[in-house]
This record gives sequence, structure tokens and C-alpha cells, in this order.
Amino acid sequence: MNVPVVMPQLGLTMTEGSVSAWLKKPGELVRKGEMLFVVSTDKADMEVESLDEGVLAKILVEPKKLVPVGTVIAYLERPGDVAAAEFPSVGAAALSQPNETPSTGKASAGVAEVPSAVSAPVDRKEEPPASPRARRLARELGIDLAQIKASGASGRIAEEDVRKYAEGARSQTAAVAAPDLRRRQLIAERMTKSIQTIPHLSVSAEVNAEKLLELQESLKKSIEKQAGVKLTVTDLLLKALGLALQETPEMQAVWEGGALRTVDAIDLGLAIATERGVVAPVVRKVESMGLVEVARRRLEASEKARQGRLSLAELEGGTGTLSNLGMYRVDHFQAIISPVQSFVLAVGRIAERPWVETGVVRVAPTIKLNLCVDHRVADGALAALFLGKIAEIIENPQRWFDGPSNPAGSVG
Amino acid sequence: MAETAPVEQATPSQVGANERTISYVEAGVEALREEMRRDPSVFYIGTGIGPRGGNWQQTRGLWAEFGEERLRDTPISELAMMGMGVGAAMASSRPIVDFVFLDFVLETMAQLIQQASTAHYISNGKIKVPLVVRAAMGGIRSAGPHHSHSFYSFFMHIPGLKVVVPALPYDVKGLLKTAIRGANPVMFLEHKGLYSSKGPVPREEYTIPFGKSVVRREGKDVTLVAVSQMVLRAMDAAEVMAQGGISVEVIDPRTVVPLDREAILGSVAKTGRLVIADEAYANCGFSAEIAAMVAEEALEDLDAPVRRICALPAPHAFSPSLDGYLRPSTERIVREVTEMMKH
Amino acid sequence: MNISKDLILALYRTMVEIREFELKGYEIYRSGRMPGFIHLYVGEEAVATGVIAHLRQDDYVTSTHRGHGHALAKGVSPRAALAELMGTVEGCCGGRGGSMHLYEPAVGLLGTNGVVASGIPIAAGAALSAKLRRSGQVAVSFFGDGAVNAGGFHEGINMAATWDLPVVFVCENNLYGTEMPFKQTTKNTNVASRAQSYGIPGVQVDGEDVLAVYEKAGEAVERARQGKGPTLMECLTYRFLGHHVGDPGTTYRSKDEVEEWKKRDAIQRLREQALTSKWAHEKEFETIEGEVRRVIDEAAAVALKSPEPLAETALDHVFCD
Repeated sequence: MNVPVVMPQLGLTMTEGSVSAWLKKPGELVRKGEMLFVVSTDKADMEVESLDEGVLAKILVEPKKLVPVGTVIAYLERPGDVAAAEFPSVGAAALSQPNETPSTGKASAGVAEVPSAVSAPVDRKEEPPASPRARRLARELGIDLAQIKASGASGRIAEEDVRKYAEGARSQTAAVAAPDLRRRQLIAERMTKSIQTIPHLSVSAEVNAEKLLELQESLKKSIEKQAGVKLTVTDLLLKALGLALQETPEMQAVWEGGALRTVDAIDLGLAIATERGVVAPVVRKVESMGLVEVARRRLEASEKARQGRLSLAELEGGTGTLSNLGMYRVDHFQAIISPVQSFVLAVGRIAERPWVETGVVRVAPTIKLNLCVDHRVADGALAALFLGKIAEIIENPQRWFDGPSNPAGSVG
Repeated sequence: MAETAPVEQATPSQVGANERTISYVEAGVEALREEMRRDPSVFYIGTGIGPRGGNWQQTRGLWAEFGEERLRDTPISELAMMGMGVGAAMASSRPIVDFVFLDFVLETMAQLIQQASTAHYISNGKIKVPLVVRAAMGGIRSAGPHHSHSFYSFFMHIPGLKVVVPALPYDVKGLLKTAIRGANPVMFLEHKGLYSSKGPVPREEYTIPFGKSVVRREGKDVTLVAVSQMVLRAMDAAEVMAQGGISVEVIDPRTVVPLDREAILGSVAKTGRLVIADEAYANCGFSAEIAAMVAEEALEDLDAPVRRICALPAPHAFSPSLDGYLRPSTERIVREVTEMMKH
Repeated sequence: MNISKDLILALYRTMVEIREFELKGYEIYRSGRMPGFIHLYVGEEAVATGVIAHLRQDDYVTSTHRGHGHALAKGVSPRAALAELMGTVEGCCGGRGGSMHLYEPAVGLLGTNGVVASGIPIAAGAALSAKLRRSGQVAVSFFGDGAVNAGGFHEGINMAATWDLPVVFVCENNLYGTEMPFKQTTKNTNVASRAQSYGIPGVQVDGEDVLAVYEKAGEAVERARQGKGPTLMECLTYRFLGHHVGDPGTTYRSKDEVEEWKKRDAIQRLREQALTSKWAHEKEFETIEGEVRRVIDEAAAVALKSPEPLAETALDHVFCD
């Protein structure tokens, strides 16, 4: 029996999506739970796992073609099944190229040329064109044809190309695996789109982190004992950001569809570095979370991110993102705003630096903040206001975290 | 009588002590003479093949030796000539019917295809038709639309006919002898442009079995299959291409029914590229058959699409400019194969 | 001509055998058990009988789509012939040929033939071979009025005449080529007269008179055997049934015409002639009829039980190895 693979519903508002990349090739075995393809929506790119085990038999929808949610985009063959001769296909007509025999009307065209790889079967569509001989050699050597560049004028990979690649690969350190290449491409696309469409306005401040660290120190043990999670600077910063946002409601908006749209919930993205690149799961309703909750959520999100198990819903939404490179040797940096958010707070490392207070220079742990805002949502003054709020909270966290509106008091 | 010959020799590349250089047409005459001396049931009919010695001199000297009983000039009655060849063969003679031009075999098709090729089969093996049909195909010196055909593939299409297309004098002699001695109807198709070509031929008697091709030139980059006069063009083209760094392997099947499939498949397994150069048309021709065979049996050996360099699909025009354009030239082979090598 | 009882009875037997065979074939075909289609010789028996009576076993015969009579007269057994009509392994061609393609080289039958006029050059070729081998063999080509306007007729007879080949060309003019009246196909309806164009003797004879056919055929065969070249014999005859089984034969011929010809039935005629001239007795004819019927019935029993060839043998004998 053939199991259909459908365009999944990955978020509340998703009505259609496109496959930006297949992570398996036709003929490859897919296990249940293995990532099978990457879906592109307006919000983000999502890896989608397979719900069944089977051999990827036939891909029906070409990459980047938008289809409604629920559309059958491929079929898996259950092991032991005989390959069906006919798969009901959607838009398959769009895929197959007309098999035109050369015209013999003119004498000069009369030499019949056997149609080239143009007439390759449909399910090879996403594979690069290659001669049967090259395909066989690649198969024998276990080389992915997508890695190989065709040297000939026809653009078709030939045996020689495969051979050269095999020799080259032997003398190189392990090349980036194909799926990672695709992810890189996706990230590149998103970053480029962001920087090109969102007018970034950047404001910076250096903030004294003494009190923040003291707070962390005082809460660390009890939180760990009660909830089994470590309280990190990131958790505190996230909460601080959420509080600052509450105090600066004008920042609770995004620019979407050519207009300003206000956002109710305080949902903040948290940039997490993984092997596969940076992802930013969104922590929801930070305003209603205590520090323990924030820590828990942060931990959960990091784990999921590193395991590649984040759902699209978890990546959707949020007005801004916190990006902390403090664990590296970075003092200060500027980040890029995520699409359909309006700010990103880039935070460097906490380090002992000279701090001037009432005319006296001393050493204190400081943290350099950079806030980039979408200039369509916020002008410089608003940005400065917002940053000022963040700085204030960081420098006097006790007041904020101990306050009555602050459930930090409820440590549990 | 069995058709395979006891003696199989590779084509000699140089004239050995026991060989001499003779022409393609002389090689045929020698074969005829030897076989007519050997077997009194062999006789020859055709127009102008008696005292005149044949339009191509293809029976020169034979009438003087064997007389008008064994070499009979016929009126222009192709249908009856073919039918009588069939009847005589059924009645235990070994006739050779010479139509001079392959084009004129068209008049005989009902007798050839309905009678000659089927009698052995329909009679459940009781009737034999050891008939040799001889004719010259191909273009030469603006022979024009009615005298230039190369439709040997028509006969390849019909079960029950053997089809022989020799390129060199050595092959003419050995294959003609095998054809005459065999028990089946054979289309023995020479090329009118080759009659005066020369090559080494052994003095002693030999035959060449059907279904054995020859690698005329070894190579590693591309397999070039050709028959009849195209073999010579292919060899010239291969030489030019060698200077350009392309190593061409030229295969001459010599007989297209039976066909030495293994040789062609083995060569394509080595080179990965197949070109067929044929003076006949591409449509449903010999070249199509070879391409289909390789696609069916050795698809994964192909590193590039199969290429066919054939006569362009128009009647055989008279003017040399048109004639030369329509039929594949050495230059066109060089150009198209070189192009193909850029994959 | 030397008329002996043996000759009369032999001629009678052959004609009756052909007649009974054809009627049996008709019966089996009508019952839906015979593949293909058959063309019956009923009414024309005298021609095959009268001519082939002069032939040796190793003389050659080529024939047409309406060739059962020639095959039987030449010596193909009714069993082998009927089994072949049924497409079975006991047929003379193992089921591969059927009615229109009967071959039996053992008796010189070089094929009944599905292509009109194709047997003419083939017979000439066999005659050429015989001449070269000086074997004394003769070839006879049977063909209908439908063949005389085809190229093979002209070319074959011309070549045979030019080379003085030992062949007799016998035209069975039954006045119709399928449904086409002969007189609508040519201006010169005297087939025998065409011999003149080729410089050979032409003879026209009543095809419903077996003794007349026998006499003229004897002359022609002898002429051929003597190396004096071919003769063109035109036997005026008629088929009492349709062109093939399924053709009533009366849509293009009047019933009266058919009845007229039936009255001239050669078998009946010979019997009457023989009795009148006291060449044989009634009883002897009856005995022959009884024997023939038994042979035909037995042949039918065998043919109806005989199996068709195995499909796996379909590729055998494409070539002779």
C-alpha cells in the first residue's frame, strides 16, 4: 500500500506551503520520525518528520510550488509493496516535460537525435541530470549526485565528473553533508530577505550587571533545588526584556502587510545556536511567567532546538528576539531582526570593565546591549526609550523581579 | 548444410606472404568461381551477367568458364527472376540471383518476403530455400534517386532473411562463399562505391561465418558502428579525431542478420558512448535497431545519448551538392562525434 | 489415347477423393471447428486429376489458394491435408500453413499459395533446376483466371518460354476472380491465345471433361519432358460453391448458371461415359465411393483429435541451421 505524504498544517494561520527541500531521495528508506522534507511558509522554514516508515516512492510536487495544506505531495511505499503503476498526482502535468521528437520537416533537422535527459522520468525531477552510466557509478560509490557539478556543455553529469569528484572527496576533509547545505541555504535566504526588507535602526548601551549577577546568585540554589533547572543570565535577560516590553507598549507591534499591527501577547524569541544553525523558538507570554518557568521554557526550547524537534508553531509569532552571545568572546554585536518581528536585542558577554560612577572609575561587570528595531515600527526615540527600560531593569532587577506584579516571588 | 565456416581469420592488416591485394569486385568473382567449381548446383542469373560480365564486372570471366547454362542473362523481369530463384532453390539448386542495383529488388518484394523468407518456416522445416540475392546499394557519382538506395534494413525487419553487408574485399570473398553454401535465403549487398576499392585477400580458400563483427580500430572514448562504405568513412573520421585527442573504436558488424550483438555491447560497456554512422536513413533503420538494442540491454553503460549520423530524410538528389549534403560525409562524422564528446 | 479400365477408375477415384474431401472440409468448417478460411474446389476436380495423372512423384506442382485438389492428386494424404486445414501437428506442415500454404516436397508439392500468380515463377524456377540437373522432372503451375493479368504470369511464362523450361502452365478458368467476372478484367478473354505472345503452344479444353483434360495435359507434359518447352493450357471449368466457405456464390452468379454447370459435373460425366462405353461397372464405382468415404471419414476423425502445435515451437524453423 502506498502511504500518502501531505502538506502539513504547521501553524494556526498556515493555509499553504511549499517544499523547499527534500531530505530524502526517491528510493531511500524513511523511518518513522525521521525528517523527510523542509516546508517553507511565510513565517519560517520547518523540517517535517515522516509519520510512517517506507521507501520514498514518488514525489508529486516540485520544490517551491505553493500547495494548499492537505495536498498529497509524495508517496511512501511500505516495505514489501509492489510499486504501483499509477499514483494519483497533483499537478503532475506541470512536472513532465513534453517529449518532443525533433522535427524532420527540414532536411537539416532530419538527423534524428535521441532525446536527452530532458525526458527523464518524473520522480527524478529534483535530481540533477546525469547519464545512466554516471548514475550507476555514483550509486556504486555511494555519492550523492547533488554534490557533483557537470563539466560538459549539456549540463548533464557524466561518468568522468563522478570519478573526479570521488577522487577529490577522498583528499578533502568531510564535506558538509547535503541536508546541512540546504539548511544553510534556507538561513541565507531568510537573512537576506530580512536585511533587505526591514529598515534596521540600532541603539546601544553599556549596562552595569552587578545586581543582575547578585540576583542570579541568590536565586540559583533554591531554583535548582525546587525545579531542577539552572537559572542562567539568559533567563534573567529574557524576563527583563519581557518586563521592559510591558512597560513600552508601543513596541508591542510588528509591521505586516504594509501596516502596523499591534500584538497583545508578550512572546519573545530566544536565539539558540545548534549544529544546524541558529533557531529562535518563541517563549510565550513571558509577562506571566516566573523565573522558574522562564528557565524551564528556555531549557526545553534549547533541547528541542538542538534536536531539531521544534514545530512551526513554536517558531511563529513574537515581537522580538533575544540573542545572547555572551558565552563567547563577544563584547558587542548587532543582530538581524527576524522576519515579522520588530526588534532584536543582541547581548554580549558580561565582563569586568571600567565603570564610572559619580566621577569615580572602578571595575564592574558590565554587559553591552544592542537593540535593533524595525524603523517602520519604532523611531529612534522609542527605541531609546525601550532600551533605557531594559537597561534600567537589568541594573535594578530586584525592584522589578520582587515587585508585586512580578511572579518571580513565586519561585516555584 | 551447415552455414558456419571452419576457417575464421581476423582481417589481415598487412598483406602477408599468402595474400595479394585485389579489388572488392575481384574478390567476389573469386568467390563465385571457387563455389561454382566446387558445386555444380550453383548457378547465376541476372541481367547482363553473362558474356558482358556484369554491370560492375561482378561476373567477369565466369561465363567463359562455365557457359550459359550456369550463367544466364535474364530479361528485365525482376519478379520472375526472384520467383524462379525461389523455385530453383526449393528444387535443390543453389541459385544466385543478381539484381545489379538494390533499387530493383523492390519489384520482387512479394516473392522475396512472402515466398523466399517464409517457405522453410511454413513447411515446418521440410522445404529449404538456399537462395543468394545479390545487389549493389549506396550512392556513387550522382547515381540519382532511382539508383542509390541503401534500404538493407527492410530485410533486417523480416524474419527468415540473412543480410550481409561487406566493407572490404577480404569480407566479400569469405562471406559470399558462406552465403552460397548456406541453407537460407541471403541478401548479399555490396556497395557500388566500393567495387574498385582494394585490399588484401588470402590466396587459399577461406570462409567467414555470419554474425562475427570486426573491430576495425580500437578506441576508448566512443564506439562507432558502421557498415559497408561507411566503415571507410568511419575509419577516416577516427584518424582525424585521434589527432584531436578523441579515441574512437570502429566496429564493422559485416552481417546485420545475424548481428554480433555482444561485440557492440562489449564496446559500449568500455567506452560509454555509441554512435552509428549509416548511409541509410535513420528512421526505422539499422541505426535505430542498434540504438534500441543498447538502450534495452546496456542503458547503464551509456554516458551520453546515442547519436546517429545517417542520410537525411529526402530522396537521393542528383546534383553533387545535394547528394554530398544528404549522405553522411567523413567531415560530418568528425564534427558530430566531436560535438558529442563535449557531452 | 489409350482408355483402360484402370485409368478410368484411377481418374474416378481421384476426383471422388477430392470431392469428398472438399465436402468434409465444408462440413467441418461450417460447424465452426476450423480456423482460417478455405476455398473449395468442388466442380473443378477434373483439372487437377487430369493433369496430375501424368506426373511422377518427383515432378513439381505449384498451386493456389484453391489447392486442396492439387495437393491430394499429387499424393498428399487426406489425413495430412485435413489435419493441416485444422492447423494441427499432424498436418503436412505441422499446422503452420493451413489450407492456402500446403507444402510437401516428398511429392513435389512446392506450395499451394496465398499470393495470386506467385506460383508461376516458382514453378518455372523448379523447372530450371530440373533442366540444369537433367533430371527429366517437369513442373506444373496451376493458377486461376485471376492470375493471368498479374505481373508474375507475364514474367514467369515469358522466362520459361525463352529458356524452354520443362513446365506446364495450367489456367483453371472458372470465369470468376472472387466476385469479378473474368470478362470484366480483360479485353482478351481467351487465355490460351495469350500463349502466342510468348511463342508457346496454347490449348483450351473443357475442364469438366476429365478425359479431354487428361489427353491434352499428356501432350503438354510430354512436350515439357522432351525439352520442347512450356505449354499454356486453359481449362474451362466452374466452381459449384462460393469463392470461399461463407460466400454463397450466387450474389454475382445466377442460380441458373450454377445449375447449368452442375449438370456438366465431371464426376457424373465420367461415370456415365464409362458405363455407356462399358469401360467399367456400376459396382466398381460404388466400391470406390465407399472406400473413399471411409478414408475421408477416418482422416476427419484423426484431424479433429489432432492437437495444435505447442506455442513454444513458434520460433522454430525461421532459419535452417
